[in-house]
Amino acid sequence: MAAIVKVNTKTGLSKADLKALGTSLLPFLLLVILSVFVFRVFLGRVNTQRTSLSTSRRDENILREKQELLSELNSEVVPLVEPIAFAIPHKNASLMMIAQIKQQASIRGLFVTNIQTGPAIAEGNILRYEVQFDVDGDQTQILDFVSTLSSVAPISKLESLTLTIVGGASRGEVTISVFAAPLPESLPAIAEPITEFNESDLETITRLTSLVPPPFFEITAQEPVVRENPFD
Amino acid sequence: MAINLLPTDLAPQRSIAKFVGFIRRLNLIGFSLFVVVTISLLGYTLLLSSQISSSNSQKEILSASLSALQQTEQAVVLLKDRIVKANTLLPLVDTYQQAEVFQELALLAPPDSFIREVRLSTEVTELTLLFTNSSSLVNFVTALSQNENYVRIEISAFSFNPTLGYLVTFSLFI
Repeated sequence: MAAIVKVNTKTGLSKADLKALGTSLLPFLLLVILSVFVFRVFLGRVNTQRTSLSTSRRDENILREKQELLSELNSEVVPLVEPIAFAIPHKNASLMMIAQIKQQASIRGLFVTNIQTGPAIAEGNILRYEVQFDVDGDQTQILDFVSTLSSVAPISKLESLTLTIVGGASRGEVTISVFAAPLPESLPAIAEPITEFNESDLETITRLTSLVPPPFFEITAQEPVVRENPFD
Repeated sequence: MAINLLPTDLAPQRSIAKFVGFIRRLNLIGFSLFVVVTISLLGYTLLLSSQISSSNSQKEILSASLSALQQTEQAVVLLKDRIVKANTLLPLVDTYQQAEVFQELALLAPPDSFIREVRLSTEVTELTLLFTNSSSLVNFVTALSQNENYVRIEISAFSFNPTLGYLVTFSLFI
């Protein structure tokens, strides 16, 4: 009782005042606390959802653009794969070049002998094969033949040519480098954008596809057939 | 006339009653605002959820469509890879130009001279010619000096045989 009197003396508020204040301020405080809690929860959730939506829409746009680009390129790109794969093969570059050498030489009536090829030499992500051969025939034809190798697939480099002319007969000792490169091992992630081919890329593609392909093709396996019984 | 039968100390003071009335009105307005804002936020959250789910289903449709275009994508990836490598390799093809340039040079040789040996490499072209007389040697050197394909020309070997003539080796730098 002494305490209530003390309070009353200090604040000048009666029990009825305190009750009235309590019944109005308590809901007010509860409302404030509830509002802070609810708004924090909702705003946090809204922010998370907005981030998620923006990521999802960005991915959706990337996928849409990728789908449009791939649909547009579908008919143009697929036929280019073979000539490009001949220009920079992933294997057998030296065999392809030997086939080209033999064909180009026979067109000009030249004789190619002593064809030798070395093992693959890795130079970064490119494999280099050295091919050496001798060629006999007319001097002009030999030079023309060597020049022609620049326009055949696979891509090659003239390392050296020694042309010896004795009594009108010419012999060329030729060393060239042929190149191959391993295929890309994985596709980019599905949501990773694909860029269009620029002007420089198209020029490179044109140059690669203009190379004469090697004069052989892959023999596909024959489908199994039912053999006739010879005793029937 | 109404008579207040309650004892005066049970009713709050007038100023307190006024303040309490203000707080109650504030509570009412605050609660109304709380309800409106909470419903709006809830609605917005639901709208965002529906948009996310719609975007996700759209992504699934596009992914399925892209799976059908996988062959094209593989082709594009291969082409991009080959273009990068071709940009390194294609300049090397220019080494064959030496053979073409030499073909032009061979035309400069006088009819009474004979090409004995030609060595083409990436740095230098070495050409050995046999000249039957000095005038054809002079004519060839004059023609060679006017040729713009080579930046430097050196005579790396020179010999004379009274029966055959002049055997000269030129080193031609591109």
